[in-house]
Amino acid sequence: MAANSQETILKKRTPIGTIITVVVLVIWIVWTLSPLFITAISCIKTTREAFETPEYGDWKGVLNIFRFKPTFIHFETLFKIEGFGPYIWHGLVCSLSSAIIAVVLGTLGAYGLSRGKFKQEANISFWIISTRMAPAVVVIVPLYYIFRRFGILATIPGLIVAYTTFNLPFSLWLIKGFFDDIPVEIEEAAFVDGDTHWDVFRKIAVPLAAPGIVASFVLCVLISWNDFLFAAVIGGHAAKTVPVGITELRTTVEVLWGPINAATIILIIPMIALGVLIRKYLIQGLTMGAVRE
Amino acid sequence: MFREKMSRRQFLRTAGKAALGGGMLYAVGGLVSKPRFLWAGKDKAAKEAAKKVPEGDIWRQYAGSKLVFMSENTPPTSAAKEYLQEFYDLTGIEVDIRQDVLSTVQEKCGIDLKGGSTAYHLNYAQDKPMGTMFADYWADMTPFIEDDTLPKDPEGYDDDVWGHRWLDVCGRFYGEDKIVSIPYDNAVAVMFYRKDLFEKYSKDFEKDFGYPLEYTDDTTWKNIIDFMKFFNSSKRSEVEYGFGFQGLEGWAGQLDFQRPIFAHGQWQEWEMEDHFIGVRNPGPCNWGDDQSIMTLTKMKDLYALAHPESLSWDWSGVNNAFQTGKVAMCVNYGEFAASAEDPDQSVAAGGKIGYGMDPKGEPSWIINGGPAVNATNYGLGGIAINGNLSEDMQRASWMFVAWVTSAALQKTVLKKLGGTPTRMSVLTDPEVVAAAKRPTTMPNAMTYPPILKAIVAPHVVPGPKIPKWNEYATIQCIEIGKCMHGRQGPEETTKILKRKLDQIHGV
Amino acid sequence: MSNNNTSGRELSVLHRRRHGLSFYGWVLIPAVFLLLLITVYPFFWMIVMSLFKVAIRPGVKNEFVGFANYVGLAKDSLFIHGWVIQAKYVGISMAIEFILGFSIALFLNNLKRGANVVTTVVLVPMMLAPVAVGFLYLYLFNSSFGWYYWFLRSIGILKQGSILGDMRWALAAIIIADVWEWTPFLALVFLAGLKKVPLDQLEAAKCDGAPPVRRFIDVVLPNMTSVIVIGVLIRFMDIMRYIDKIFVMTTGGPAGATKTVSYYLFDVAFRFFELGRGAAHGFVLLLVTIFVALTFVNVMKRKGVER
Repeated sequence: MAANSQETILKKRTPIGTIITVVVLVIWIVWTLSPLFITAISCIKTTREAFETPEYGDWKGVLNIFRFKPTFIHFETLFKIEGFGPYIWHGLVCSLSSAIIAVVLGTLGAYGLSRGKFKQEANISFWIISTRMAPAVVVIVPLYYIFRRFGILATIPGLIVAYTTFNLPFSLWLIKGFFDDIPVEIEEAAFVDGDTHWDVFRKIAVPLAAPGIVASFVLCVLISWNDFLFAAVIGGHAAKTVPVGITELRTTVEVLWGPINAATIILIIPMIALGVLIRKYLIQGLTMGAVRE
Repeated sequence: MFREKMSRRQFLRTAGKAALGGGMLYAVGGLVSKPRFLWAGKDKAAKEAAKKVPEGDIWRQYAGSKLVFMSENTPPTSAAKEYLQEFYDLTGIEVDIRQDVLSTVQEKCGIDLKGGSTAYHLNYAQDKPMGTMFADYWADMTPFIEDDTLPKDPEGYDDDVWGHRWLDVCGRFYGEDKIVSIPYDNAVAVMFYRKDLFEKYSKDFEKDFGYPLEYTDDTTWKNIIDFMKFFNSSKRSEVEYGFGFQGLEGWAGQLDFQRPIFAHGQWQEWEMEDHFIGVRNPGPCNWGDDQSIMTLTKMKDLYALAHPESLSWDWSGVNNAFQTGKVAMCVNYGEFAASAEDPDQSVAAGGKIGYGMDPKGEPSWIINGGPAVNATNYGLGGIAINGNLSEDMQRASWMFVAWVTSAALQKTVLKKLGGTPTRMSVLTDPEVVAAAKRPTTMPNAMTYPPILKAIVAPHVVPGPKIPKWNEYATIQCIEIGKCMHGRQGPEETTKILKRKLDQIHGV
Repeated sequence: MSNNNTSGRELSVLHRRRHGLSFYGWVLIPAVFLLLLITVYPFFWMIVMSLFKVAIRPGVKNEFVGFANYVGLAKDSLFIHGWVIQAKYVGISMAIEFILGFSIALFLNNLKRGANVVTTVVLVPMMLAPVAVGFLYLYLFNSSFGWYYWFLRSIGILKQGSILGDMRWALAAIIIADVWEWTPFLALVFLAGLKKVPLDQLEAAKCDGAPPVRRFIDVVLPNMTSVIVIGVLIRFMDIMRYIDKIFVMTTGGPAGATKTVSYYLFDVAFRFFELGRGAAHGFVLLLVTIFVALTFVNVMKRKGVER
């Protein structure tokens, strides 16, 4: 495969090169993981223990971070008192649904946009992505009023539609790029051989663009699951998601750091799982087409 | 045939565009002007229930309705949640209490009220951030107070049953003859200080500064500077800093700045006929006069010695610092006494805290001839009813208002969970008065002696109640904050403030 | 529509129109329809509202004021200064993320074994919600119990005081949080692009004796222009829109030091409730975002293969 030979050519490595690579990546990984490590370990400590830091400059004292008695009280608080269970569910339902709608319509639309001979193609393309550039605050207010009128405010379907306002343009734009990169000749050949438009779409175009479509889907889920502003204003209570729930843990009397840390862990785990499962497609997808001349 | 098709297609396209455009304009126009109130569902339940009222039971008139109360996440609301079953048994009305930080409450209620909708029947009506903006959108409660077919607290709702002019602060705005909210919780600023450390170091302090280390009603902001210098020293190892301000940009910050400013000559940004009522457009502001420049200059000295996060903590930051021994003193809101006295959270618990009025102005810093006062301000939360509701739903909402502001409930909550009552009868109840001394089961009560002294003239500064309060607070916090950070000089700051505040009022 | 004639069809049939649209047109309709429905209306609203002064009391009609809101923006020093802060925030964050992202991508590309695991680990920060990242760094930078604060004090960089409370450091703290969260995204995108570079061109360059830097500039970069465009564009769009971290960490403070234009819009719309002014504000923000994005895309178009 092309990638392998590229690797073999480029990777005539020198020992220095390897050492530098390893050192850099190790530093980077430490920098990447240390905040999460601190969060993870703090969420199973009592608040008082979590707040204990050694004297400044007491490097040995850093090991105290490991000295604690594990407790799951913060998770208990989250689920029993704050009611986080439904939030997780709402988040999953809304982000998955919105991503599916965005990707299905987006794939169809992107295909049409990519293959069709439209005079205004570049402009349409840019218009589509520019809708995603609008500041969320300004989009939210009119959406609030529309949703209220149609009675879908503070409902799951309403939030799904709200998420689709930015997922759809994003999918359209991204997937169109993938289709653009796939040579038309294959489809044209199939068409001349007698396949219908649908067959060509179904059997050739989509499979070839599959990594990109999956990448798009994953990114849509990610952005929706992590969204705060839309869920906060339009989601209301019946469609509250985890990010909104987390901000509510900052009460007037005190900031509930324990539950916040616990909620952070809950928030990130599904996405890491998703990323691990789909990582191959994600990277491949962003390679924009595996077919090269 | 080809030509026909073309023109038909073209026609359809043009017609479609026109319809779309016209439809858009209509829809936008409809929403730009006030939309018609479309919600009928809950109305019906209330109406039906009202028809079935048994004779004489005025509490159950609206049984079967459902109300939503959007509140800040303050202790009284958390406490009310615990007693909701009682309310349901009494009235048959289901109440859903939502809690959030003030800025979110503001945001959600604002969109609701301004858009003509009724998602939140009851709003937590924080006097300045929300009341000044939304007063016109809340229902007038005077008819309910005078209506004999609605339940009322036996004490009534006259001005004198509440803390000093608190009904005006919460409920009356801009000279309109309406009462738009009833006082529900109070957060009055008083001084929390480590009495134990004051006692421990009194000799050392007297040696260094020449007067006793004590906190009284006459302690001035200049004394605070001395206290800060004293406690900042590493010799006083129990605490890191002497004093911390509240911080939070936009709300607590504005209150922070207002105290030393008002303490010196009762200086305020605007002249008003009645500061407890406010005005819609206050006209030109007083920033730039000599007193304002002098006060800002002195405030810089205060902030230079205060805990560095004094300009940026969020709500609970300074309380946290006090609890963990980072500061020896802070001006804090009475409701925090409960957590400060909690041995599980606070090293200051166990009789170590003293409470007093906010510091007095330092006479030598006053040049406008005004008095030196213990400037006290507060955030008075009221409870208001969404004015977009139908009359029946407003009346149903009133049931909750009456219940949650009743003397009985306020007293129960105070005893159990550390509430913040607004009725004088509760604040001066013999049990509560007795609880103001240690040992006590009601820590918040310890703040009431200084609070009761401080909420009356000449110490109290309730305003400025103006519709653009939020923008004013933002501008003020930013510019004074810059001055306190050393980014711009006091005189320049007052010039900028004068220009900006006059600009937003069209002066 | 199809003609299963085994003698083959002309390609012209591919774009034949039925009822005015080819297959491609029809297939585009659902997406465009939904898009129009949910995005054009807000856009329309924004433009119309920006010409009005929204009523501050019920019963009063919204007042048509023409361009007064826009003129007001020009006179609002918080708005103008907000652009300065926004430029700093966007410029510095993106520059760091670009350079670091590219570097990490290069190193990742260099890995023989364990590339999969390492890449997955590198990706983790971008999986976390911006709000949560805000809380994370609020926690880490806290002067009472934050580990990063402790670290900076312990190594002596920070003498005393606070990070988020200091006008000089607050924005830096937010930039650090942003860099932590989003560099992985750019790293991923650039890594994908690196793998796309045609090896024959690289081979040729090597045979020509070009040094690594030359190879990089002449071969690698031009083949990555489309990838760079996508990555930078997405990142730029998002950094202009998202205020989650600022909202959690500093609410625009201290003393307005982190009040970017996007954050200030939140204040205007949801704290002052000046919706007309907010609409004008948002519209200007949108225009600037589009303008910068377009300029960037055009510049890159001239430099290499573009989509």
